[in-house]
Amino acid sequence: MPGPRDLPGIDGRPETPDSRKQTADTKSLLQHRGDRLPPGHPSSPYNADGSRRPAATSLRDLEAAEGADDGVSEGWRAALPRLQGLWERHKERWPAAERSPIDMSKDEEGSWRGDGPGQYLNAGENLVTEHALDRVHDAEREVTGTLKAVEAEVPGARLVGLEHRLKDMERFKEKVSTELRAKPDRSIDQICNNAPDAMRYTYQFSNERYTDGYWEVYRQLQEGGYQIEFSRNSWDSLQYKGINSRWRHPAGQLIEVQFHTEESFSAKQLTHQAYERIRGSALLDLERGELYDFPSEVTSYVPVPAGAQAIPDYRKKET
Amino acid sequence: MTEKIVYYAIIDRWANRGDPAGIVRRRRPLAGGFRDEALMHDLSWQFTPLIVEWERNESTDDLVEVTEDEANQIIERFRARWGTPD
Repeated sequence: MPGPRDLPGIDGRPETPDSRKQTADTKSLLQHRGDRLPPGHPSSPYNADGSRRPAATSLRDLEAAEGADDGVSEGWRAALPRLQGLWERHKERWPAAERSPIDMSKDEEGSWRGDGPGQYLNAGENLVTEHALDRVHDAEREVTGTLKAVEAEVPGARLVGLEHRLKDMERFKEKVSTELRAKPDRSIDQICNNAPDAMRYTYQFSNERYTDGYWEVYRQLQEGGYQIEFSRNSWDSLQYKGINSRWRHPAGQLIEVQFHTEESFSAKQLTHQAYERIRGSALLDLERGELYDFPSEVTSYVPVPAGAQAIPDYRKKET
Repeated sequence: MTEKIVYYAIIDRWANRGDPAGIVRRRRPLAGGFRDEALMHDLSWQFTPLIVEWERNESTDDLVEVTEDEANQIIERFRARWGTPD
C-alpha cells in the first residue's frame, strides 16, 4: 500500500524546481493572507486570544520527524516528571493558605486595597494607575502586531505565552503599590510609567538558535523604532534562566521582552505557582525557605545555550 | 548566634549606590527559612516581594548588596529626609 512518501506531489505530478518555487510563493501568499485575517478566524494563524496556533504539519514532515530529536534536551525531558512530582508533594505538605477578606470600610472612596500587607493606593494614586494601564492596553494591538512581524522575520523565533501579554489590573496595582511603598521618594507617575511588565512578550528559540536569535530580534526592534532601556541576563542565576529586557515603544509605553529556550520557558511555567507563593506574605518563613529551593532544582536541569551567558546586560541611565 | 540579615540598596533609573531609591533586607531566622522586608516611609520594616521578584528577573530595578554599615548610613539619610516618626 503506497504511503505519503510514494506520492510525488499533491496532485500526482513530479516535483520540479519551478513547481517548488510556485509552492513556496503560494505558501508565502497564504501566510500573508492568513496574517491579515482576524484572530480566531478558522484560517487565521492566531487564536481568538492572540496566541499562535501550531503550524500545520504535512504528512511528509510528520514522517521525517518520527523518532527525530525535537531539540529538547534529554536531561530536561527525563527530569520533568520528578520535578513535577516535587511540586505536587510540596503542595500536599503545605496546602495554600486561605485568603482573608479585605476590609476597606475605612478607606477613602475611589481608593484600592490589595490582600497583601500595606497594599494600598489612595484615590488619586489609584486613578493614575488605572489610566496608566489603560494607555498600555491602547498601545497593545500595535505592539503585538510589530512583535508578530518580528517573529515572522527572525528564523526560529516563536512568540509564546501571548495570552498572558497583558497584566491584569489587580496585579498591576499590587506591583505599583509595592514599589511606591519601598521607594517613598518616587512619584506615582514615575512608578507607573516605568512598570516593566504591564505588557510582556516572550520569544522562544531552540538552544542552537538562541544567541543569534536574541541579536536578530534586538536589531529588528531597534529598526522598528523601539529603544532598549534595560536587559538583564539571568543565564547564570540559580533561580531563573533567561533574558528579560525592557523596550520603550515609540509612543512611550514600556514593554517587556523575554528570551527563552523551550526548556527555560517550561521551567518558568513549572515554577510559576511556587514563585507566586514565595512572593506572597501569607507564607511561614520556613515554607518560603523550602519553596526557594524548588526553582533552583528545576533550573539546574535547563541547558544553557552556547554564547548566551556572554550577552551583556544593559541599563539606560537618566541624564 | 543571631539571625543573618543581608541588605540591598534599590537602584532604579534615577538612583545610584550612594543615593538609592530605597532599601530592602533578607532576614534568615535561626529557626530556618527567610523573610524579606523593605524600609517604609515611617521607617518601619514591612514585608516586601521585591527581592524575590528581582531574583526572578521581574524587576527593572537593581538590588545591590550593601554592608550593614552602609545600610545604616542609607537609613540615616532617609531618616533625615523623611523625618522621625511620632
